[in-house]
Parts: sequence; structure tokens; C-alpha cells
Amino acid sequence: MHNIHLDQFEGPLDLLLYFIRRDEIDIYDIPISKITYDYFNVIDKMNSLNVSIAGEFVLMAATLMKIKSKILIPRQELNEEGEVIDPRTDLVNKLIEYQQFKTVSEQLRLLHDEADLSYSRKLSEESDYENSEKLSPNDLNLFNLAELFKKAIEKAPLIKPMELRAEPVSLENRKKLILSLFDGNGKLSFFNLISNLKNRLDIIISFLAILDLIRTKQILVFQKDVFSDLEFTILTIE
Amino acid sequence: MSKNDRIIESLLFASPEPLTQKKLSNIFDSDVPDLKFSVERLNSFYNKNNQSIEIINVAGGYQLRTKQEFSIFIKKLFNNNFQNSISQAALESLSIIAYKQPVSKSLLESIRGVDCSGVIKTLLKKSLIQIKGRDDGPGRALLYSTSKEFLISFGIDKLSDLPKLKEINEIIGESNFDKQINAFK
Repeated sequence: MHNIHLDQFEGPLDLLLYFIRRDEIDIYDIPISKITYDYFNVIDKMNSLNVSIAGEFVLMAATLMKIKSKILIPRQELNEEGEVIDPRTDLVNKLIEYQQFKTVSEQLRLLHDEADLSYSRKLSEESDYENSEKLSPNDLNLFNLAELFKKAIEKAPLIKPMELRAEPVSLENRKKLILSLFDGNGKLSFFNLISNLKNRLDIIISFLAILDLIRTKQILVFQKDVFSDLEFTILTIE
Repeated sequence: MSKNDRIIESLLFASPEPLTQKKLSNIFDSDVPDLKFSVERLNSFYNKNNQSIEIINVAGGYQLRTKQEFSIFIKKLFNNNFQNSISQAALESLSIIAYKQPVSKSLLESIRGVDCSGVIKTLLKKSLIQIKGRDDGPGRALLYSTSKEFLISFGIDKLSDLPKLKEINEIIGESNFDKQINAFK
């Protein structure tokens, strides 16, 4: 028994062509019995190895069974000209067509490998080079329009959604905190206060708290010179 | 080398895609030189002087490429990442699309006998194929054709340069015939 791995084959047609080559079978006179037997052997082996088998392999198994059963049934199908239709015809045509393209693909591989040996300048992603052969409205169809649209969208700057979150600090709490920072004489320096603040939000909320404390007349504020330190004095709480 | 030849050489050097006669007519205001003849003169100059580059005819235009003998060095330059590997599935699909274009996914699948969604996606991503339109039949399936990039990647000037399917038929036919003769021996 030959060791066959399903993943070596591009599909069921490829596997059948392998049998045909291996056993030097005439493609126009395929022994369906034998080839079905071989085919099921491979599938069974895959099953016993717990390899999941792609649907197309199962479909081909069914097709082979159908052809085999048609051969067994003595009643023959005739075409329009009254000739007997070989139940294998469809499959054979498929195999021949597939073999054709497999041959072409081998030639394409040679071309590709050959072209791959020489190097040319490549268009880089950031290049401004545009295909200056401008599309005329006649050439323009829905699909290159869609392609251009996709390119434009990909190039468009990414807009990040803005997230609004509840503030982690409340004004009331901050006011209490500030009031607790006043020294025994009821004084507090603004520079001292902000030097302990870590981030912008902290500074803003503290500033708001101070403004609010002034508004509600709980503290007074003095400043000696422009841009000099602010000095807060706590007003006696009754 | 004439001045025009040298201008064309610089264009070939700078161009990221094959240079065409049409493009040349956008570059020269008057007295557009013949690209083909310039390329011939440049190539014979390169050959005579044992240069490491050559101009090849691809995708309906001309491209400056390194000579194949230097590929091993260039591969090292790109840490061996330069080579575009291509799978058997992709090649089979490409050859079907190349000969039968425009092709729908279902036709491709019926010829290959396997699901082709993944390989179509890969080929589109590599720009080797493009969507050409829609089928008129039921479902209005998308139709695919090969792209300019396909011609460039495979060093083909135009689609008609691909080996004829008929020739391939003959090759297959002959080998089959041989087999039958062998069977009689």
C-alpha cells in the first residue's frame, strides 16, 4: 500500500489523477471499481487517523459510487443520437480539463520562478507615483470605483471615538480636602497646593473648588503682585 | 547613446512599473522617441559592456531588471524575504482564470473540484487578479480576471503570449497515446 497523505493533493480530482498516473490507466477507460476501491482506502485511512476530511472528498466518493451503480444497472442511458452514454463521461471530461490546467500551472510556476530571479524596482506604499494613465469615464466601472473608494477609505485618517467617563473626583470632596489643608493659622499657599497635584484634571478640579469656596465666601484670596503666589485665608466657620 | 536614450534609461530606472510608449508621450512634449528602439540600443549597450542589468518586455511595457545570475546576492540583501512564494492552489486557480477569464468562483470550483474562496482572497490581496464585473446569470456572481501585476510577476508581455491551450491539449493527447501504445505491448 502506498503511503498517501490527503493534504498532498489539491482536491479529489488531483487524487484521482494520481491513481491514473500511478497505475498508468487510460483516462478514457477508467476501471471505476478499482479506482473507487483505492479512493475509499485512502478516505478510510484518513478517517482512522481522525483527520477531518473535506466535503469535496466525500462528494467525489458519492460520485464514484453513483457511476459504479450506473454501470451495474443493465438499463443504459442513451443520448439524442441513440448512442449509449458512458456513465464515466462527465468525470473523465472533468479530469481531462483539470489535468490541462494542472499542466498549465506547472508552466506558470516555471515562468514565475524565472521572473523571480530578476529584480525590479517595486512601488512602495508611501510613493506618490500614480498610475497616470487616467481612467476615462468609459473605462470606469463600478468595480474600479469601489476599489478606489476602498483605497481612499484606507488612506483616510483614523478618527478615534471619544470616550466620556465620569470624573473620578468630585468637586465637593475636593473642597473638603482643600479646607483640611489649611494650617493652624487658617492660611494656605496656592503654589504649595498645586505642587502636590499630579495631573491636569487634578489642577482643574482644585481650581474649580477654590473658585467655588471663594464664591460661597468660605475663603479669602490675596495676591501681592501679578503672577506671585496666592494666599488663601479661611473664614471662620460659625 | 543619444540624449533621448539616456532620458529613457533614467525613466526606466525610476519607474515602479513597466514603462510604456503611451507614458513616454506624456513625458516628451514633441518628437517622442520610439521606446522599443531605445530599449534595443540600451540592451545591446548593456550586453557589450557586461552590465548587471537588462531591460525586459513585460505587461505591455519595459522594465529594468537585474540579471538572473545576481539573484543569490539580491536575495541576501532582502534577507531571503524577497521571493514571492506561490502555492499550487493559487497557481492552478490563476491558470484557470488566465485562460477562461472572466471567470466566476463557481466555474473555478467546478474545474478544480474544491472550494476556492480562500485562494481567491489571496490572489486578490496579492493583486494578481481583479474583479472584472458581474455575471448576467442568476445570482449575478462576481467575475475575476488576471491583472497587470500577474503579467509582471510572471514576466509575460501580454496574455496571448501564454502557451496555447490547444498546444497543451496536444501534449496531453500525445502522452495519452503513448500510454495506450505501451498498454498494447
